[in-house]
Amino acid sequence: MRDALVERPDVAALACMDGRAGLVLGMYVQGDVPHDLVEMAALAGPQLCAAPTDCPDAFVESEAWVHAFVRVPERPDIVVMGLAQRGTNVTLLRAWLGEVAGQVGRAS
Amino acid sequence: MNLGTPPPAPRARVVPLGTVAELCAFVDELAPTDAGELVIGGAGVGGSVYVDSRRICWAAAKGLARRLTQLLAEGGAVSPVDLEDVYRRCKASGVPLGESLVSLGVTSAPQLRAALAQHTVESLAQLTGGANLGVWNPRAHGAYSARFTFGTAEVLARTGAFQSGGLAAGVEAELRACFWDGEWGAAFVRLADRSRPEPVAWVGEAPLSAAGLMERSTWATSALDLVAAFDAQQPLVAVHLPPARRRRGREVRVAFAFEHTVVVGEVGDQGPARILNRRARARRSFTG
Repeated sequence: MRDALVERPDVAALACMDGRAGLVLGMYVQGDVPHDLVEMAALAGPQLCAAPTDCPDAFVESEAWVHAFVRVPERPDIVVMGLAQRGTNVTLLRAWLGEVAGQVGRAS
Repeated sequence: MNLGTPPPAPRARVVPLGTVAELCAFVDELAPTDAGELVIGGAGVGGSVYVDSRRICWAAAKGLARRLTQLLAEGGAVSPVDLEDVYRRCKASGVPLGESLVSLGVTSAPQLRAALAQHTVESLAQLTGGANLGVWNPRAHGAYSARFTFGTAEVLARTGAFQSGGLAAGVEAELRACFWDGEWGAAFVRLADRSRPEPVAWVGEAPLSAAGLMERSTWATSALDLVAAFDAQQPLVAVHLPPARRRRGREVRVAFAFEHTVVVGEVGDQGPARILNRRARARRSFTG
């Protein structure tokens, strides 16, 4: 995940969360982003993807940020989150996170 | 010849009608093919609600006998004299009034639907409340056309809009700007004395059941509460629905706050970006 983040300077943070255990499995931040907010966002990922039903992905977009969440294939309890500045193309961010989630799935 | 025991006659049920939401919940729980009439009686209250296939087809309340005529006349759709004439003919022939008004060209289908919806909402507001009770009597299926009957989600949302008065108009205008054809959106307010958000406005074809609409409002308020912990800058939450729950042009469920309401809806893939851009433009024009 660290290597993946370094390749994307437009992405501020990347995190991975196990919804069943309630644990952040990994979190990498680049730039001036408060770590506690990244952690809180990562912790919310499994819940956001779990409702209204098991959704493949979710995103939260505000004036400042885009948080995108994607489930790991074959491990739906694990969610990967990417954080980027508002204005980032959400579709491309999701697609890239899908690749990262695939790598996480193969490694787990 | 022994014909066996005859099937039991359907039994009347007593239904609490403290709120329109309670009435909608009762309708949602009926079997999909049930039809019948809820008869409400009591001190100063009287009337009935006809239900067929989980849709509210007609509501009549004491004191509102001429309200539909007024509503149609207010909309310029029909004169009271025309309506009385058609009503007498319908009563004699057994044909539903609404169908006849449209087929005779007395009014248009959208005008009639709007008037019937308002009439239903006002009647239900009068029939429900306090310790009111209804008695459910199963009946044969009527000849009501689905286009002039109402799903419980629509009834609940329209009731909220009616009861919230001025608030609904501004919110509905915003919903119309955010949600396009084929999409739907609803706005709710959170009241301190209610366990669930109350609908105040709605656009598009909302989920048919009131229970479905309320489930979505609960999701929206929970999601926005969750997100407020890490992003307090007017966020919009969006989830891609799984294929089994997706409809063309409504692939994404969204939630966001607008003024004092929580908005939930289902939009196409481009919907979230469109709504965000609209909100950003509105903020910029507000701040000058």
